Amino acid sequence: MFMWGCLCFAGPGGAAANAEPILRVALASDLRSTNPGINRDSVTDWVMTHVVEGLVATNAELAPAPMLAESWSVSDDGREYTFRLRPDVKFQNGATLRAAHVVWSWRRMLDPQTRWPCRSWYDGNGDSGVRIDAIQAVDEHTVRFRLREPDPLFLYRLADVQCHVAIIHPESLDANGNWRWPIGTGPYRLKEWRRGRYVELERFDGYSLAAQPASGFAGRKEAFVRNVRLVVIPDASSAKLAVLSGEIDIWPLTAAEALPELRRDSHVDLLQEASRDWSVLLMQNRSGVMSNPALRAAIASALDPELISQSTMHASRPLRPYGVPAEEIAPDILARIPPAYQPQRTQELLRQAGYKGELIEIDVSRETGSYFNDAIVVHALLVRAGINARVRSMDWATQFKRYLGHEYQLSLFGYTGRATGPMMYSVFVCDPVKRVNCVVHTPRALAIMGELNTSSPQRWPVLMGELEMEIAHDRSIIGLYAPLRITTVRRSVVGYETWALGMPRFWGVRVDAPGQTTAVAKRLARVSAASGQGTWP
Amino acid sequence: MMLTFILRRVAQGLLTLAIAGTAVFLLIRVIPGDPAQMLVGDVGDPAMVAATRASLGLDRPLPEQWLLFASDLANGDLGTSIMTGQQVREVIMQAFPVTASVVLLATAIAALIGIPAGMWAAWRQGRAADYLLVGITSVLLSVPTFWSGLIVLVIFSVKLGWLPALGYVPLGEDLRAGLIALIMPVGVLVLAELATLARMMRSSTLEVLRLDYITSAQARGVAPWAVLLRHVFRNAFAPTMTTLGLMLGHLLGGVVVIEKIFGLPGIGRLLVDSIVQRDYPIVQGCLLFVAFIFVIVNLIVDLLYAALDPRVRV
Repeated sequence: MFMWGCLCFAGPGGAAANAEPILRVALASDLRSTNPGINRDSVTDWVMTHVVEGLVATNAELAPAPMLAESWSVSDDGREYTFRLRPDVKFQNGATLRAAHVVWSWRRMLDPQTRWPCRSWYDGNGDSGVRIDAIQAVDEHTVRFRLREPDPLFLYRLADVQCHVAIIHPESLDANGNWRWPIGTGPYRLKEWRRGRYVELERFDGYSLAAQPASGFAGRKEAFVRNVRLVVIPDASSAKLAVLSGEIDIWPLTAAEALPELRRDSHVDLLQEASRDWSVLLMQNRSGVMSNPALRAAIASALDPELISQSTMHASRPLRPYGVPAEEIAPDILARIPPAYQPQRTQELLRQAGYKGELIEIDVSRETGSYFNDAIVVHALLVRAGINARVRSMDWATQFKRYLGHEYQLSLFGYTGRATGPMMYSVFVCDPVKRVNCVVHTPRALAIMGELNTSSPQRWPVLMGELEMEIAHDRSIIGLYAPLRITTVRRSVVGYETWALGMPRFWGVRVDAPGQTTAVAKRLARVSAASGQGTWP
Repeated sequence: MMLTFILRRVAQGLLTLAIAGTAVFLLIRVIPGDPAQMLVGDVGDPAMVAATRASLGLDRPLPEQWLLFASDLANGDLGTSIMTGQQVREVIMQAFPVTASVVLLATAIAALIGIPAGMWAAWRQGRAADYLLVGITSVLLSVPTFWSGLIVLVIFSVKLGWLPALGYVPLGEDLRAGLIALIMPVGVLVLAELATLARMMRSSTLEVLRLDYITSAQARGVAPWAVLLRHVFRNAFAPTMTTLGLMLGHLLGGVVVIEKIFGLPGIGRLLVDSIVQRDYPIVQGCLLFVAFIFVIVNLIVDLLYAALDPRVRV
């Protein structure tokens, strides 16, 4: 009665059929902030790529491509990068982009007061030792960066999504230098953020289109849909029902358990791709029983990655034994890397290790992906091999603390994919004196990593092969699989595409207006027609 | 006498809040996890984490942190969120109306249906109406809200297409859209609460109906409705009111499952998300606020109870 009472009282109409279509997207979690790069997570990153842009951006081939800079040149000594800005690029407040804005944005990010987590990439304190000595506006449309040492990865770093330097207008900050609201140059402006409810993007009509075709995060980012509403739906079952009822058009990172029902629905398509993310089993190598390399090799030999990758019944994940896809590594070296899984050797290795049934715990969090399922399979395989293992389930904050403090023995973990091999490996191959999240830190691995950071891309396949060889000897990280990124898209959406980095993009996307009229809207429209009352909000 | 009673209850409430505040402050720091690390992310730069920890005041000794927390609290300052930089008071004031609108509406509806239904079933004990109520409430008590919530979503949103699956709209912003968005969450909560209230009211009514003065009233030929309303209700309602108060206090602290399923940005979801992110100030603020609500609701219940039954004031 209460329900019918409200329905009749509501008397909504069918405005959805007449109004300009709106693209509705499910967000598994809310934004961390609107301050790009500073207070961020992966959801915040990809939402903000619609609002702000950098000098360069990662294209579909995962290479740096022009964005706000139309071209660049590198000095012969590799220490000076000069960027020529595209003319007539406007900020969302109507101001024209000038070189001074680029200098201001960069200086703000490099200021220690800003607390940019990636500042060590450019201040000489990072692994690569890269340091920006000067950023200078040569003229209104030219910016020059002077580095202390040449850095072959400089353009790749500039294009990186996680450590992005967005070129924003100074009005993004208040008079006291506090963050207000992003005023960028992207194809959408941030119209509204209702915390815990939704984020609304509105097409920026003054957007200056790049000449190159759209590719990855770069190129011609033509926004067709006027409004994109990103609705926060933390519960996967609710997100599935919202897609099925037609209230959500796109569900990025679709939960695997929703797939059987979604596959049966004729109104949706499922787009699937293997991401560059990497799911691994970390093995502690610094203290306790796990510091024994023979025991690590024994554990690795007992784990069948094929079985682990199938722990989620509804989607089989492609195997990924290495930090980057195998095709990026020199094949001759790859052929020499011994496989981790060798069940026939497990008992011999356990004897070599002098294993006497010590308890080995597997850290896992239920909050991240399907790692709990993986942990169950890992546990079963270890127990079958005669290893006294136990799954230790915990929340993500606890697992993260144990990971950074090297308090774990085994830990099911995932690394977010980076565009290049050197950037991917530098996340876990590093000097433990400088960083606390290093997993592989043998002298040889560090030497190869140093070379990788300073070599040209042509050398990367060989160096990454040598690094994988060293990782295989160390056995402190076991590559399992590349997590699938599944996106559910209603058939009323045209032009949505996935790509290698897996992050959603809404430029180039259209919504077929009749398809926008959901079952709910249709039903309410009928109620409205009967009662002659207002419109469905 | 009533004034003394009120003052005593208020003093007890303040003491409860002080104990709850200290307990919350300590407990959130006992569980593993570092807010500074969570904020910085997997960068691995110990200097950055240390600087962030210092900026949050988390590098100070625990007693000093507690003194700061207590002095801020005394000034009405709950602090700022570690993750978003928002004022905690502001965050809670955004989330609480969401939970309150669902809970108050659901409790009112559940009480309006459940209390008369429980009295009627007790009056008709052993007959069809009683069996029907006991049967229905048994089923309702056995059904968890995460299941009933999803079933309601499937039926009314996916299959029938009558109601939106998600989208909270504040009632003050758009009453009509707000009510539509609340239909399903309120409906699910009503089902859960109604069963408890009806059962409670039925059993307390049965106890009162067995008392001599009721038999005497019936023997004097007083009409059944008059017996129920004038003689039974006042005595039978007191235990149900206590249950209602506890239930209200508990639910106003957040209906996490319902908030998650229906995408409501309420205080329960805020609290759970903040615990996951180790956002200490939000967790402290939310739990203190929940304790405050509990104290207030129970104070009101105690006062009403005392008004209904003067023996309580003694």
